[in-house]
Amino acid sequence: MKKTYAILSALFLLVLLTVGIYSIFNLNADAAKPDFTFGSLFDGTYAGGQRAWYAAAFPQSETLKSMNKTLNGFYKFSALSGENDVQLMVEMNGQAAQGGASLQRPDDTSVSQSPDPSAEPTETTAPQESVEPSGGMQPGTVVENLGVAVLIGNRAVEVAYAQYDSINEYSNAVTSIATALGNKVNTYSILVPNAAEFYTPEDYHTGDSSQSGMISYAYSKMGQNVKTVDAYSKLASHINEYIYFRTDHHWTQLGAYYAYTAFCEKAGFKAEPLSAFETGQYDTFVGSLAHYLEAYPQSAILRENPDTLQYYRPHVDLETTVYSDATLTNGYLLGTICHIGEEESNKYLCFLGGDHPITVIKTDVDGPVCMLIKESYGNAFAPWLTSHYSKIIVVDPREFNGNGEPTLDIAQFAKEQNVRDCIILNYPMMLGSDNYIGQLNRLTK
Amino acid sequence: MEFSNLYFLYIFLPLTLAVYFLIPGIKRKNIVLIAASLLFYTMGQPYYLPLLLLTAFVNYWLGDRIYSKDRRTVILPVVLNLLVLALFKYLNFFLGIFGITAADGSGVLGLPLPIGISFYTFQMIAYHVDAYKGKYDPAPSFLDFLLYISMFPKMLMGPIVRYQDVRKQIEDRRSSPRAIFEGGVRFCVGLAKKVLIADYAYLAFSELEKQSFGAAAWLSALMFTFYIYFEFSGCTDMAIGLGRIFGFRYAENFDLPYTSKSITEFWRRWHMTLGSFFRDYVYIPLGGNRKGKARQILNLFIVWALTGLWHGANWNYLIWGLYFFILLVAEKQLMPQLEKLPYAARLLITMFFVLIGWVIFSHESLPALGNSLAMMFGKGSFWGAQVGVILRNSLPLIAICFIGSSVLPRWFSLIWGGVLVRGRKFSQFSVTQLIYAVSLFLFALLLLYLCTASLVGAASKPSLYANF
Repeated sequence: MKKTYAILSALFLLVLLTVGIYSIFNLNADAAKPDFTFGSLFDGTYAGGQRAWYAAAFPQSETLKSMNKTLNGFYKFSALSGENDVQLMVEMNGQAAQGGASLQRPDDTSVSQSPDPSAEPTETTAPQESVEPSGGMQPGTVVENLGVAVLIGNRAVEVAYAQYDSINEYSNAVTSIATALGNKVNTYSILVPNAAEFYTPEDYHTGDSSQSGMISYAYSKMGQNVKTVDAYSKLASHINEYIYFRTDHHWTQLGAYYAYTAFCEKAGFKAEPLSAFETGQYDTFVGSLAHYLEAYPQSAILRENPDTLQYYRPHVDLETTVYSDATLTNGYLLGTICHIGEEESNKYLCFLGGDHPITVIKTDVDGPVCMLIKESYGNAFAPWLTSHYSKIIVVDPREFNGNGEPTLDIAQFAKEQNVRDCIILNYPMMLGSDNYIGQLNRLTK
Repeated sequence: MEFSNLYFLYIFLPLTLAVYFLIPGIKRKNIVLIAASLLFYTMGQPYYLPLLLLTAFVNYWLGDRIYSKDRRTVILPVVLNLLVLALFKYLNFFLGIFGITAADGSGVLGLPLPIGISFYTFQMIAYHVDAYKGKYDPAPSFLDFLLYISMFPKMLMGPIVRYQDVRKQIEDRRSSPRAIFEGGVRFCVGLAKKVLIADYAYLAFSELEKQSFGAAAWLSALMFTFYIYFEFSGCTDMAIGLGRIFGFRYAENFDLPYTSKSITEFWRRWHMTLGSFFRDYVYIPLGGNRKGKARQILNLFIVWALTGLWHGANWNYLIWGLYFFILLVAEKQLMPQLEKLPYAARLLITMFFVLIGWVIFSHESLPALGNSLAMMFGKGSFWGAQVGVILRNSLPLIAICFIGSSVLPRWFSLIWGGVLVRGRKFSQFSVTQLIYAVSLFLFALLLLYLCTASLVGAASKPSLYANF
């Protein structure tokens, strides 16, 4: 039997060696290699990065991918669930069991969900390299646990859990921005619920997951110098309309419209009727949550039932420029703020062409200047403001004041730009994100 | 670097094995193994390589010098090793007790824990004490000693290997084809325990931990109970399997601990090399049970406080250790009554206390620990729809965990092996033995394939050893 064991042992080693050699010659070139520095070599992050890169670039045959999916389906077993039950609950920490799928957290970088380089805005008139979307988390960013992704019927939603310490921090950060901007600037806070609040069984939007509770709590902790906007009630009274995507974690532009009407009431504007806008739609939008849950076989229903995206194009004349930093130099023009190429899979990039450090929309309206501080929920909201402001400056705090990022002192910048209204718009997942709250805080420090 | 990543499986391991088996001569093979081990360590914490080499050298040098003159000076290397452990693992904790922390509340030193330090300092202590007792002569060369300390299969998560167990093998060993084969199979089984069970159990645990329901607290405790067993015993299986491939026999570390009928038995079956370390180098030197009841209880108290702290420099680990001290002392009193109970009842009672122990172990924050225990025993609502979903989603995993930690897999392998191999001579070829070997081989390949599918594209998951 000695020979048998020798042959089997040699075969075993041969399998490891063959797979190893095959993998080296067939690595996926798209996977990002870690940057070499002596510091990273010394502290071990380079070697760790190499391993992560190898795992990401490991050649995946269809059988391997399909086995990965089968395993995930096995470990997230849902055969006993009814059709309208919650089929899946997956943590939103970006590194769950979804080997092989896109692991970017949808809330972190909406642009990054499309690995396709065509995620860049179309109709540009200037070189864009300087404002290439960051495409992922910064090295060293702490992976946070913000809640869970839930699949129910043919809809996926993000369920947030209230973390009151973080909400306090968020409210303090907003108040600090209002204080830094001073009395001459109106600071508005708009916190909007996401689809989990309206389209899930009771347990997913009550108790610690009650977004109305989180929003009221956050508002109650903000200073008197912050004007809080009740967008929640407006959205809640239109839940029979298409105000949230089913396959994506964002709201639709119609959802953003109802938040806009709430803002107008608070700010003293007369909201434009929907009929004043030219509209059109893109079919077959398979959004971020479908990608997030891609590695689970249960998520096939999302791909089989894609969203459609309806846009409402502003009727005023616009000039929209995207900048990589607050010096507002070397920008490039965006053709229109509600447009996207048919070939682009991430249709939400239709709005403002996705996230950028700073987007400036100049209009022919004779009005004040507004600054919108936002994550990607703000992208569908910004177009509605064009009817009231001569200039809307859209700021993404995630792009500033971090390692290797441009600096931005929001008070100084607002002064230079003659900002009258500052809107800080976020959705509930941000209330638990210490990363995001830190980024808001750094705008005033 | 952990074993459960594709880079280790398909680059590091096959290259190391290929070079190791191609190079002739035990001395050269040892050098290959040392080089691979140091590279393995460097790929995790390069900045601590000098610490490892320095402590290894000092220990070797002390061993070499001391025993030829005055064996009683064994105290010096033991204290030195404890100091190294104290400095890197416990100083921040002890300073914290006296309120000495950095501005942000973290430890003043800010040093990351050198991975594997709890294992290798203990091995060095055992090395000196046993040499002092005359069990063997000190290592004949620094390379031999370095190999003993740094061998990558057992470097990070044990088992705690005694020098006398591997001394002869370092100098002369042969990896028989059967040992290599069995080692490979054992490695794949360990890998599967870690990747296909422990990692998924941990995910379920962390999902459940965020739910504020009593049922979720119980289920999360159950998932942690399974996670830690499959994680730790899986890593041990991988270590023992790799050791076998290279011709070493490491001591077993787990023996179906979740089938125990008592806490005493549980600790005879769980992390056995740590238990025997504390028995041989702390409990017995302190007098064990030879100096009266009161002294025995004090000795047990010390052993269990140290066992707790060995697992991490935090209050919860200390509480966890002392919790078992209380249970063991109480159990000794109640043993006559307990022994009358049927096996199932004794198993349930034991596992209840073990599970509560893991709740303590898994919460470094004492308020969070209190909250979890309160939820388990009645605080707030017991059931929520989200718990139902996680439970339903996790049913196959829970079934695998129960079966995998029971005696069934062992019975199955014994019966399978018994049917095909019993009564046949290994030296002679037989079809049934061939079927046995090929079935194991295919089983190992299947596990490897499933693990690869699970690891593809996934970020490397944190391993338990970060604490040790």
